[in-house]
Amino acid sequence: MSALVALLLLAMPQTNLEAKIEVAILQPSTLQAAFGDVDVEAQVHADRKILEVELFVDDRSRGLLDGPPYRWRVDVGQENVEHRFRVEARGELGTTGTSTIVTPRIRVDEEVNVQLQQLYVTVTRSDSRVLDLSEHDFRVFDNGRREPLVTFARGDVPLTAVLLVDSSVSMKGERLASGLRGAEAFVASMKPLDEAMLLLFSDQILHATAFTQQTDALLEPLAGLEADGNTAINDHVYLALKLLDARQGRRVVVLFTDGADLHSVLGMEEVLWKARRSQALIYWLRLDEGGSRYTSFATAWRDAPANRAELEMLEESVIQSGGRIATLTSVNAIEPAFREILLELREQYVLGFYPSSVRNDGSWHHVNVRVERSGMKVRARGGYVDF
Amino acid sequence: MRRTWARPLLVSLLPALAALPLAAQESRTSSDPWAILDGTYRPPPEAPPPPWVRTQELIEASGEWKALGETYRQSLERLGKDDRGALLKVVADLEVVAIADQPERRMPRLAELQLDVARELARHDPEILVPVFQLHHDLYLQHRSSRQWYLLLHSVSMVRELAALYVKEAAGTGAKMNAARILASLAGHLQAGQQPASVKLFEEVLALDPSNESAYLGIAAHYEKRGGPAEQVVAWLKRLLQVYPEHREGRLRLAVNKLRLGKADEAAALFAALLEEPGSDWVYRLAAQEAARLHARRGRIEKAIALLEKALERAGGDQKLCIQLAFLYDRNRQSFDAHRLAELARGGEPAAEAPRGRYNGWPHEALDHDREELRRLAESRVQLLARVLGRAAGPEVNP
Repeated sequence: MSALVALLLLAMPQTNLEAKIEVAILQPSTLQAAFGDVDVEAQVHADRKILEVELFVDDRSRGLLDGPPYRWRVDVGQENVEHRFRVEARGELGTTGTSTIVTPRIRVDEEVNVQLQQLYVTVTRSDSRVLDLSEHDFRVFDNGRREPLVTFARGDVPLTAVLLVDSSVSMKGERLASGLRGAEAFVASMKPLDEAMLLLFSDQILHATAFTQQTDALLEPLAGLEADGNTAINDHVYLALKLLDARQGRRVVVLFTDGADLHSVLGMEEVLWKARRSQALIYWLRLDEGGSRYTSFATAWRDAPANRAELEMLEESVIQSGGRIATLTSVNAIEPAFREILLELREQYVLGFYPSSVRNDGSWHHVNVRVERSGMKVRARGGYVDF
Repeated sequence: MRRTWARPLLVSLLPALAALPLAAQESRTSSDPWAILDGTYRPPPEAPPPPWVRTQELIEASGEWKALGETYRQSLERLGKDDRGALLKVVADLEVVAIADQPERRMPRLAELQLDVARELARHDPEILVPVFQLHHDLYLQHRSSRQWYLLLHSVSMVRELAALYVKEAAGTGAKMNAARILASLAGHLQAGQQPASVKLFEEVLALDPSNESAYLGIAAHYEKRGGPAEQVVAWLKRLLQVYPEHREGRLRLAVNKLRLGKADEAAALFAALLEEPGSDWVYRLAAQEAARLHARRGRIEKAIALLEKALERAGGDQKLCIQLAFLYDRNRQSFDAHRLAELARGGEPAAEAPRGRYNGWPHEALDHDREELRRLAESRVQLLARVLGRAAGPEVNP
């Protein structure tokens, strides 16, 4: 009987009830600073017809929609400041509803100053990571000159990753499936402030998500996606580095591929140019089940020596970035390799220093990080471009 | 008709095949025709051979080759009547049985046997040979997929012999063009694994039909994929352009190879002419990429950017143009624009065929055209073949 009453109440016209409009801003997140193009999405619930929904950013009107979906893309600029996003919905009879959020500015200790050089450092001894070092254990040299550390952190620093998964025809079947499981494992193990983008490529982009923290958002649309096409690594490593430019904090590219570049429009030299100007770490998971088959091949675009040189430059880019190359000889090693990268990132040291000899002349500064203990292996970015 | 020019190719390919295992050593199932030799042959359950095929009896009977010839003739009669896949399987199985475990000794005998049938048919009307060489062309693919390496060679040899017989008996330009098409199609298939052999076949194509587009492009692409020499690529492309001066892919490849030879101004002029033409096909998009790369290499970043901006307007959200333009903006310290283009690339739809991948692959449009023409021609000659076989053959074998 009570259920019947409830149903009747729900079915009744709402004229006698108080009109209400509820607005919720789904994105951007209040946990992350906003820069450049920002996607804004709102949800509006009302018991009356919604006439229009308006977006204000920092009290300036930035868009008006007369029906769902209520999504906008606005450019908020590159300044490191708080931004106020307000969505106002207007319904019949003058009813309104609003929601406001404020995105934070980046705290000074997270900000990448043009002069502050940040180094993400992995230290190992006998292939095990060393986790008990203090800032006094490190020595940083910039073009041979020792520089004092001004920031030092250990453990988790939020990260933004681009997971580049080769989906060319040679990856068909278990290789691609394992790669996607690896990507899923990576994202599932991320912490709340971490974000990742999944980019599936062959000789073109087959699928790319936005940066997100949600595993579902990364992997759900992939049902039925077939590995297809040849391999263009250079173009997509560059693209990943470029997309990470707009992000703050620690940036990571994870490249998973079973092949070599066949016909990118960008040469590896151009990617190296970008890698040297990026603070991103590049990790290369190189699936090589049948022993090295990368040594000699020609294409219509490059002869065998040129292709060899491209591979060597990719290796150089990875090493200079402070990342590493992991050669995987079996598909079973793929998923653990993705997990291992995330673990490694969690156990890095973050060192910051102000270079004392900046000239802004575009020259390359060699950076050398040493640990004053025996048996330590140190891996960090190999330098930076002075500009 | 003696096989005078097929044999050298066959022999030249044999060393490359020496290391490959025979199919018989790889799989020996109850449905494997090789099992006939030890009396354990069972027809495959999913595709039982039609009742008129008597391979087991044939191999057991004396006068084996004569019976094989008869079965082959009956197979030809079934062209256009039976399911093509099933018919191909039947003839393929027959050939497997025929060469048995002595392929090098028995293959020439098998070829003679099949050619004897073909010669006899050609006396009635040489046009009958079109569906026959089409059949052996398709058998090449059948043997390739079942890894019957010797029979794969046998198919190459048969197509060449039958094409030569057809040219001899039919005479005329049309016959030469059709023969050229079947050889070009076969060469196109050979490109995947036997590239030098494909070049030799393409050269034979051009001897028959100097206007065959597939052959010029096939040879040029072969040398390009081997890393040159660019002079040789240019020479073949020039021959193509003598026949087809407006050929867009030919001009694009010529420009790319001129650039490799250090003739940047000539390359730039060729790219510019292609960019002036209407449309935004893969040739246009690739010409835009390469012309912009050339500008950038010469330090003309602004020109490269302007060229790519214009190309992007024409080619929509082409991913590669977006990435290339993003990089140039980046290099030009236009960080905001670079980011915008990177986002555009990320959101761009993949093309049906990426232009650089198309260039690096084998030129297939001309070959597809050749194959379609041949398919139509073969279908139109099948009834003729059936009529002649009906007249020429004895009573149908149907136990």
